Amino acid sequence: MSKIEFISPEGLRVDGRRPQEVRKINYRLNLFSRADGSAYYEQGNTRVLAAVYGPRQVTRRGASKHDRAIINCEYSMATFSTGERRKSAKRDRRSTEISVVIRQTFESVILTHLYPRTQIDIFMQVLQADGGTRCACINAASLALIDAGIPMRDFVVSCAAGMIDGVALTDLNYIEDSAGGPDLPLAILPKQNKICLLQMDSKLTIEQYEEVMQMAVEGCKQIHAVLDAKLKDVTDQLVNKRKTLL
Amino acid sequence: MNNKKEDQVKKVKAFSKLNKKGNVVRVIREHYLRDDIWCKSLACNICRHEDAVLEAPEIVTKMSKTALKKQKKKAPEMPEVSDYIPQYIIPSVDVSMKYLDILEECQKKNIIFCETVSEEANQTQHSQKRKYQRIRNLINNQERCSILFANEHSVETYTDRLESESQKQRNDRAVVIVSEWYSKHLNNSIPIILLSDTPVTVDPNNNITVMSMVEFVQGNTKLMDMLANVVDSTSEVNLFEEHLPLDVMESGISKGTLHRAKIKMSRKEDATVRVDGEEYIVEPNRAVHDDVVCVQILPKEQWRVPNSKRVSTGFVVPTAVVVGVIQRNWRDYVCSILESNDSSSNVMCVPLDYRIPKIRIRTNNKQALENMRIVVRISSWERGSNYPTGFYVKTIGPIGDLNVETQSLLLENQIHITPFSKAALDQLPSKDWKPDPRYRKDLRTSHMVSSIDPIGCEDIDDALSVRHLPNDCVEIGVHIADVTAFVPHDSPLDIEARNKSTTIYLIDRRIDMLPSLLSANLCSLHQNRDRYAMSVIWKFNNKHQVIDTWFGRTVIRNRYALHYDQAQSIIDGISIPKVDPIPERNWSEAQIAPDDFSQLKKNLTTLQKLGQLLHRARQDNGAVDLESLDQVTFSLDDKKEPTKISTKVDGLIHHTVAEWMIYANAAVAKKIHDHNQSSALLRIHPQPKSENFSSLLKVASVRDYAINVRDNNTLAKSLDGAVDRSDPYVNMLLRSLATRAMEEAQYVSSGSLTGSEALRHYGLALQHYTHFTSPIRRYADIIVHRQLLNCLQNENHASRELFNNQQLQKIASAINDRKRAADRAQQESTEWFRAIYFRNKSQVVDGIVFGVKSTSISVFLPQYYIKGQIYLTTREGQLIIPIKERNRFELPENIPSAGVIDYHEEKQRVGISIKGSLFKITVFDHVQVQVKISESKAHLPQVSLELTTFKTSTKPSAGASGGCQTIVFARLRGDHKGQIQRWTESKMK
Repeated sequence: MSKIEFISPEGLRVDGRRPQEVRKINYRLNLFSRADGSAYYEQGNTRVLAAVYGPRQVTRRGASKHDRAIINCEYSMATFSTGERRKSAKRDRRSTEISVVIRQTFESVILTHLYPRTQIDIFMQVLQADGGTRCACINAASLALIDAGIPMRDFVVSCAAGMIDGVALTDLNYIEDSAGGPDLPLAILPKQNKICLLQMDSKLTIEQYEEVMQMAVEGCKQIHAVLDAKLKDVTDQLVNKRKTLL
Repeated sequence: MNNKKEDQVKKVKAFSKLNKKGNVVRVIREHYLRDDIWCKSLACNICRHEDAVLEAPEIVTKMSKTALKKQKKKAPEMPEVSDYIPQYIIPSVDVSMKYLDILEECQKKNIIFCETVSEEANQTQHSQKRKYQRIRNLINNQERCSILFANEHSVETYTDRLESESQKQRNDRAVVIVSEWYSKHLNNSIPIILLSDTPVTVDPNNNITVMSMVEFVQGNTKLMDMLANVVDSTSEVNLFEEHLPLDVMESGISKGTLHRAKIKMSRKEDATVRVDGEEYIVEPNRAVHDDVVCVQILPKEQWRVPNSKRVSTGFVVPTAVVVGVIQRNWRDYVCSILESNDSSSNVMCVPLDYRIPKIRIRTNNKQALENMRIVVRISSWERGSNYPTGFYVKTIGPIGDLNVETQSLLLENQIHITPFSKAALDQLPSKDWKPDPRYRKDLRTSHMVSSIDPIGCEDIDDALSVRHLPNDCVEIGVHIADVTAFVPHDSPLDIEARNKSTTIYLIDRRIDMLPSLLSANLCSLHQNRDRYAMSVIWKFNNKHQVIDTWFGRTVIRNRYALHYDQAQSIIDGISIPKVDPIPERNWSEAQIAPDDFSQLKKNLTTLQKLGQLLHRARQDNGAVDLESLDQVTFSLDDKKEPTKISTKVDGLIHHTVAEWMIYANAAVAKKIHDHNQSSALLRIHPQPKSENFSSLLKVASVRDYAINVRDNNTLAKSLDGAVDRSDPYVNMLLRSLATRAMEEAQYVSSGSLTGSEALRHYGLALQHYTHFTSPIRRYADIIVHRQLLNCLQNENHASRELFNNQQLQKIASAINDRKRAADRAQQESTEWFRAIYFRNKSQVVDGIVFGVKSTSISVFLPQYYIKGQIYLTTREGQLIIPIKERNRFELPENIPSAGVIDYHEEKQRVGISIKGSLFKITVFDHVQVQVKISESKAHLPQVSLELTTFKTSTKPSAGASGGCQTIVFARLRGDHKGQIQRWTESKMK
């Protein structure tokens, strides 16, 4: 029955971060041989897996579009991903909603007109959930798409921000998420500064909203810097490999 | 904002925990280590902290020895200035938990609390939770120069638990690591003291001394006493049931088998708790008044009869049993020592408050504490002890001394009077401050402003002005002292005023919220002085409707500072009565220039007429005019002994001024609420619950008055109709009972309540109300002034408010608490002076019964406005026979008497039969009451009432010394200058 102090007077959160700091990020590309692109992505204790298949032939003839690729997204949480085992409700409300939302995000970013009459499947599986799963999934999907070599307008990065006890925090973990304050997942195209996805729970005043939004954008930029840095290394390695093969 | 991944190391904290439902869950959390946890020492130049707190050494003597000698020769009186080397104190986990009191009391500076310690304090043990708050308070106290060092998150001091050690040993080792780090970090320049009772080994190369608590308190007798008390006492006999551990209680509460409640002790009756609206009696089981306890409700078969009612009714009532204490709400208690003959160091203290049990303390100098009021704190209550154990904090002074008793009752109400700090006083302007009329509307010559206050008032915070305009229009202005111009938001002066929240008016002294330079001089609207004001100016048309309202900052000159009688006499056109000037205040009446007299008369008459129209409008809306019948004034002699008690007589003029203040408050409330719905500071008066009215309805039904309590309108109209032509007291007392049924009015932040009805003021029948007219003596008014200014400066767009809803609600609750404490202190001060008055002047006066219970009656004495209970039986159930009947029936004093009481609740009547004669006492009967003082050393003296005879009459006795001169109706608002407004309605000889 203790009231948790979400941010101590010294400016430290429950896990020791400062309000504007994002959790530790780690990722690996190309785990699966069968998928065209795959990524394993960790953000703090949240771990997700994304796999991309495509562009490939449309499985349902009726759904194919003559001038562009269709995108299918599936988000699901493993039954062991939360503290207590959950019934694997693949079709439950929340998962469907997140799937739809992520699909809309990527539809606007992927250059679908280059692959008419095909489909691109993005599968995301949350292996361990500790707050910010949909943002982690978007980041993982971005990386998987890059690994698959599918052209996009820009990298999509996503980060959530919120406000607890009047302080704006970036990248909420599960405890902070459950505090009942507002939660604002945001996905942007960092180079173009455009918003792909913006959702919000709970209530905020206009001034607070500006502050939290700013935090989310900064968080996205931080994540982008991290992902980008490692990507360059990966790409260098790939180029070098090609050179030696040649 | 760098994401320093290379420096940040991530750890994982994994442990099992009991969650709310009572299940065991495994918790995995991330734990980041940082490299930017600074040492916060002023002596360090490596760390990049901005707000260092721990002191640095001050090397003062830079001069050589010869230079020093020269200086000493020149000025031998100068004291030796020596170097100051601070010591940093790091308490271990055990010491912090067990001896937190000593750390708080020792007044030592530079204490470093490790995060390890504060995490322990934050665990959910019931008494531990408050420890965390106390540690926070110590850290926040700037004079202690103490910090919380986040060692668990610093990459340099974090340590994992080794295989061989327990969690506790690991915590102890973590604290040792902190001390070693500090020493090395500061290059051994500052001595570090590690406080630990368990033996610890430290690297001797560092400047670290390990001290046990005994060594730490050496030399300070008070601390040594405190240390002796913390030792756990073991006893063979267990007198009480064991308390359940917290987790069992919590799981019981969530299951519904146990309940949490606040325990309420009573002087003469059983302790009670309230669960789901039902009241249960309990055996306290070591709970102290106001503690939050966990109770189990007993089944019906085990219910018992309350101790107090054993004789009369003998019925069982719902009973429960205390199984544990969830939160202790112990505070400082004022006590006195029972004289004891034995010379042991154990002493029993009797608290001033009847509801607190005796406390056992250990002290070595008992002689010095006898016959003194002392402050004691409880530290624990073991199962084997009948009484709690505590320790002595400080002495206030000898019992019976006026200053000591006043301080005692302030302390009991947790009102701490401290002089204004230097930082606050530094903010005051100089005495020769002159107003600057720029950015303000200058009304000094254009408006005739005058103020109306009680005689001898020094802090004038409101003044009125009237201007007659063409077309029968009239412009009325209410000008309030502009305190916010002198007190900037969040300045030291502002924060001290916020902590005080209100000026406290005791009978013999006044404790000011603001320094007297402001409250009695520069802010106060003295006669013929130019002063800053916040004004509300209305234009009324010839049909008495408002056509314009203006709010803003002004400069005014109060032309005439009148007192109430003077103002009324001017209106009535009679010659001004001479009032005895009060010698100690050098006060004399305002002299009115003959040219101004007719203007003043016209203005005041307009104010009164319009004021009456406003009042009528509110009455049509359902305003309730209530009574409380307890405001008296004391005349004190040079020794501050009361020589006279007078019940005040008020006139129509009080009513007028009050009405305009209400109107101004309401106008400001509407303005700030319209601008800012989420965090405007308003004053609400919720509708009373229907069960509050039970005693009023019971009493009223005896005389067949129908009181309709559906809403304020019906209540007001039915009270107006409940009149007994032969006895005006009946209506007064009914109004008084209605007043008791009222809910408390309180301050609230508008965003924290939902629903349009929630912000209403029931008593005044207004949609929105706030306090605006007394910023000198109420902090809430200062906040409202600032909110009004914010609204005026940002008319067209929402701006950042000074407080958001959450913060304002916290402040409003704090102000409500302080006001309650101040009201209680004022009441207790009145009781005390009243008792002292009757010390040598015991007398018999007329009284009226306004409540009848099975073993007691409630009486009201009109001559002195005293309300009290007279018990008809002793605690054991023996009938108390008044002196006249004793003489008549020749019953000896000390032998228990035979008599029967027959209580009729519906008819509010007791019938008493002694030796065949029958006496009846019904509500509204007049009785003869002996008023005297009941002395007690350990407790404050109180007025005690006794019947002189069982014979009653239905009309007030003409000849008895209790014949009253005037009957007054009072309106309960308690807002205008902290007094109750009255007007004379009928006189009775």
